[in-house]
Amino acid sequence: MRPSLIASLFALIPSMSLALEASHSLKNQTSYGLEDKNWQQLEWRLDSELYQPLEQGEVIGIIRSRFDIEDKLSSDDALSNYANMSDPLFQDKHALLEVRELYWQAGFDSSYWRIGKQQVVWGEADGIKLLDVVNPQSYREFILDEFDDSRIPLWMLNAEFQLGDQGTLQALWVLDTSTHELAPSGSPYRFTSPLLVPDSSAIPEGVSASLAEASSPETRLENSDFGLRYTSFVNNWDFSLNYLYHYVDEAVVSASLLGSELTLTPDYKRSHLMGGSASSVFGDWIVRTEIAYETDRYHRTQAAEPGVDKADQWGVLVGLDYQGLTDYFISVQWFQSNVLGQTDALVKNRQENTLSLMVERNLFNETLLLKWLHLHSTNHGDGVLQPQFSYNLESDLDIFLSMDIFYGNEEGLYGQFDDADRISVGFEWGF
Amino acid sequence: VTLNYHWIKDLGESHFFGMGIALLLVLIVSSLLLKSPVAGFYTLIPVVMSILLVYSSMVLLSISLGIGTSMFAAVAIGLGVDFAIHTIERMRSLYQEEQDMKKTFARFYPSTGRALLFNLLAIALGFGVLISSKVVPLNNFGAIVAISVVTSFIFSLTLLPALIMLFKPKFIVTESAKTQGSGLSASAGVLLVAVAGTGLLYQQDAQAADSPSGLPDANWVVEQINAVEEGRQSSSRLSMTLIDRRGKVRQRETISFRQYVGEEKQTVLYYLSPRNVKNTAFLIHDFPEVERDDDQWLYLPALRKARRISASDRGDYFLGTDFTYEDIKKEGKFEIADFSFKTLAKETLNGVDTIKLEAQPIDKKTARELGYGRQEIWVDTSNWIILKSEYWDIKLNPLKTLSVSDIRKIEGIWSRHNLKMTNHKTGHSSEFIFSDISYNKSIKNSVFTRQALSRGAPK
Repeated sequence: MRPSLIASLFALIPSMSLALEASHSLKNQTSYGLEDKNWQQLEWRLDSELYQPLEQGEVIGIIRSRFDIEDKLSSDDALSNYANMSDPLFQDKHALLEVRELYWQAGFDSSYWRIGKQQVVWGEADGIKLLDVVNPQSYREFILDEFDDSRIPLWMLNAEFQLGDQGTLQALWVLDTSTHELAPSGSPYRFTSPLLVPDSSAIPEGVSASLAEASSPETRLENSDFGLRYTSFVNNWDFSLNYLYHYVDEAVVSASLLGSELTLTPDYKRSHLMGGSASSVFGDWIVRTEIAYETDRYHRTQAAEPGVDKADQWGVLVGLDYQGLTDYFISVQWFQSNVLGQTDALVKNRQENTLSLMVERNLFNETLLLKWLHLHSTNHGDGVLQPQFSYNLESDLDIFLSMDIFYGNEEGLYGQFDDADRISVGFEWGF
Repeated sequence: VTLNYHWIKDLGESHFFGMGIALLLVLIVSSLLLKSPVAGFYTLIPVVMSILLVYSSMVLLSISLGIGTSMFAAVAIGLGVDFAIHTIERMRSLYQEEQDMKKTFARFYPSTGRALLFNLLAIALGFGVLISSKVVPLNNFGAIVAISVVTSFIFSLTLLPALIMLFKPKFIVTESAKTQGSGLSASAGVLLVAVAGTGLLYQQDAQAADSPSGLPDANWVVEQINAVEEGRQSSSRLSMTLIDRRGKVRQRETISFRQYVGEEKQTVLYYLSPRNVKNTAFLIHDFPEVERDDDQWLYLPALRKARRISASDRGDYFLGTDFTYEDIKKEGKFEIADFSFKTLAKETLNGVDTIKLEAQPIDKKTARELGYGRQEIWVDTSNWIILKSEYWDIKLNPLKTLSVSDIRKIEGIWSRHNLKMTNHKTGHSSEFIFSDISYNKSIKNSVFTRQALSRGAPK
């Protein structure tokens, strides 16, 4: 974030009647790599949430500081995925200090406004992102950290308008052009799968390749993202209709061959996303579904040059939750993505299917939580298993023990991290 | 014949003069009662429209104004104005509660509209009997009165609300209307209480007489429990203390809001602390139809979204406490369709006179859903609040004990401030302490929507 922006925010403070409330959360996580027999992470994270009434609403901010004794998950290089306005205040391979969220929110008779750096979550899916693409994602720990932590908050204007008794129209204007944060080279979570990055084995003999640095789109008015969502509740169904005109947060790496020099240039492209979601309850069962159509998506091809091809894609997700067993929560999801058009020689299949299973068991008046999460790609036969044990030791103190076990083909989305299996232990203390 | 001629020759003139006086008096009385001349004018509209329609009908049906038929105006005004006064008074009180014309209408027609319809049927059929008379003037009188009350009813439930919707008169929409209305309600209330009280005493005696043991009928007691005033809306802070068998204490601070929309009860509860559950929110829409499941959503801050949750397991424990979702939802009342009740005794509990009831689920399915095979309840006879409950599981083993204390009137409504539920099987207990209870605090309707859950607790 620019110092001038911080200064202007702090300049507001004298005009407030100060009634600042603060609460904090201190989390420790220590992770040990099971394959490389080495510490992966010895991390301390402090989140301070600040609350201050302002005008007819309130200002809420979350300041995050993180310190990792290990240096495997971050690098000293500046993070190029952040727009200038969202840059962390400080960042190196061990530490990070950032204004994670900072917004003013207020509700009026038939409208609600939230202006500032924030997260917006769309859709009904758990852990699989089809409509939930307003905010980019941090892949610093791939998808292993909590959803709330992995989403990168953006500066935006978020307004909701009441339409009739049940309907709400949400309008988003996102000025922040930050994109996905990728794990740095040397990290156990750097992308190597040809599904995601250029395959070095596809480079012709005698040709040398160079990768230009990716940077997020410039912060200009015309680079803003715009979104609309209409939600309502009709005949026992919650549903939404969504539209987002945005920069896809995943860089498109295209290759150009000049003589014996292959230059790989990452770039960000715009797309229209149209979709919807719905959920309803039938006795003990809850049905959740999401569908999305995206234009102008780029997909990796097996050709060395340009290595990508443009095509529309669509995806569907159906989830079924069962709550018929006391203190159990069982959820299965099926997700399918489809590439349209005449694109040939795609690295991935035209149709990709993923299944997920989540089982949660609460014991002893919800002090002990046992959780099992399993994601599996049926196309590539790879996946990840995440058993977790969490215990509420005191009112505001939780301890946890978890494992993340990848399996399958190393060219797959999950299989690429087969060597990154880990066991983690830690605690979270609120005060 | 001469006498009749002198009688009848001025009939038309005196009829209209008399009707004018009657309308004027109705205008004055209505204006005074409703404390607004405009309201008095509105009251007359359905009656005047009805009388004009009756005159038109008389022309069409060739009914002349005679001694018998001339009386219709007095009867029509007297009966017809009732509908208008009921409509205005009820719309005024409903609007003050809802602050929304559409919601006012939605509540008005199923309740007062229905009552007025029954009123109409009774009056119209009563006077309509005269139509079968062989005495022509009586026959005409019966027909005219029936037409006039039917048209008064129709105008009172169509034209009058339409005008109110269109012009939003001050006597309906202003805040002072509430106090004016309550003034009328209060005076009417005194009368009603006097009348109803007599009936109640009679009923109580009758119930007591019904039981050979001299104990009041259990269903009647449950009706009193369910009739305890809880306000159309409320807000309160709730502090939960959860203690396990080893004495480990966990604390939760929450804030909750409740409102009725018609007969639908909407409740939302937000966690304020500790930090690991802060902003977790639970929203429930509880419908009056027994067979209809509630709509429930749970907002999880870790996911940043509200998810729909099943309402079918009413006996599941509410977010780690010893209260079930059903206990939380019913707030010390009963779903009558779930139980059969029996009066066990009159007992003194901690110096308070109580009636001890037994409640048994009506069948095994209900018992499984609720998680209870039997309950014993001690009810304070002075305010019909449950002071204590013993619960047995579906195998009839002792399960839980609820103790209620610190019961005080807040804004005129008996309010429970301390609930302690102890689970004998697990040794775990939950103590709920309510504070900052208010039945008047303004709450926006939007608070009770799924979208609002992500915005945090309203300040």
